[in-house]
Amino acid sequence: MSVLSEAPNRHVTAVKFVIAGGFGVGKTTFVGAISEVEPLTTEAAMTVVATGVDDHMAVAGTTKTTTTVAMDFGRLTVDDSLVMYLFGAPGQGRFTFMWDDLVTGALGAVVLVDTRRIEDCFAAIDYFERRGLPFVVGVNVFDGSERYGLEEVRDALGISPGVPVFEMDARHRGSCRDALLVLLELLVSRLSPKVHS
Amino acid sequence: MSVEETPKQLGLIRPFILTGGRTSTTRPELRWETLVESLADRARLAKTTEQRSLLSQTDHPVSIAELSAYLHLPTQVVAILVGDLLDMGAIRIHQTDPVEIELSALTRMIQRVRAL
Repeated sequence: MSVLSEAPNRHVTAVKFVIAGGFGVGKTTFVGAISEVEPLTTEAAMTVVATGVDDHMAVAGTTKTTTTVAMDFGRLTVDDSLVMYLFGAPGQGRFTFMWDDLVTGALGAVVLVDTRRIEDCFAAIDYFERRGLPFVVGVNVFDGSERYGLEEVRDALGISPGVPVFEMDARHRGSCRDALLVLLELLVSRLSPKVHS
Repeated sequence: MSVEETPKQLGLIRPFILTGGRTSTTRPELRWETLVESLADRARLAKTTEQRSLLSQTDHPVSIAELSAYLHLPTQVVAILVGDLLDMGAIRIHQTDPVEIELSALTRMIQRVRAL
C-alpha cells in the first residue's frame, strides 16, 4: 500500500475538506482531480420523520424511517504522517441532516456555484457561515452559460468581502488544484497574526 | 414513500442489526476521516464477520469513510463497529484535533497540492 503502512507507532493526522455544490456542478470531478485513488463512495444513513403516508410505519408505532445518501470522496497522502480527505457534498437544503457529521472536524470547504442554479448552494453557504467553517466560492464556468461578474455572484450569494470568490472549471485538474490552494491559503491567513494597518 | 425506495429501505435493516439496533456512536471523536488501525495479533478478538473484515482492512491506518466504502456499510454503522473494537482493545485510532492543525501542516498540504 502507501507510505502509511510503515512504522507501527507513528501518529497519522487526517484532515477533511468539503466540496459542496448542487447536482451536476462538478463535485465528483473535483474530488477525482485531487484524489490519488479513484473516488470512493460512502453512504450516510439518514433518519427522517415520515409524513404519515406509510401505513405500515403507523402500525409499527414509529414515525421515523431511514434512507441513505451516497457521497463521493477522495484521498491525497501528503507524507507519512498527514493525509487529506475530500468529500463531495450536496449543497441543497434537504441534505442539511448530514452536514453536522460532514462539517465536524473539517478544516474548510470549497463551494462550487453553477450560475444557472445559484440557489443550489444557498443552504450550504448559510450553514458554513453559521458553523464558522472557512470556505471559498468557485464559480464554475460552463459552456453556453451566461457569464456573471464575480461581484454579481458575491452579491447574489450575500457573502462577506473576506470570502474569496473566483471563476474555475472543474473539468480541468489544474483549476481544481488552484481552487483548493485558494482555500489552503485562506486557512494560512487565518492562522497568521492579524496585522493592524 | 415510493415503491422504488423500498428495497433500499429494507437493505438498511441488516446494517443496524449488526449494531444491535444502535443508530449512532456515543464517541464523537469517531468522524468520517478518523483513521483506524488494527493492533497486532488482535484478530482473534473479532466475534463477528463484520469485525473480522474490519480488522483485516486496517493493518494500516484507514479512515472510517474508506471502511464504509469497502464494507458497503453506512458510515454510522462503521463508527459503531469501530467503537466496539476500541472497547475490545483490538484497534487504535489516530486522533486529530482540527484546531491543532498548524502552519507547518498547512504548508506541507500546499506543497503537495501544488505538485499535482
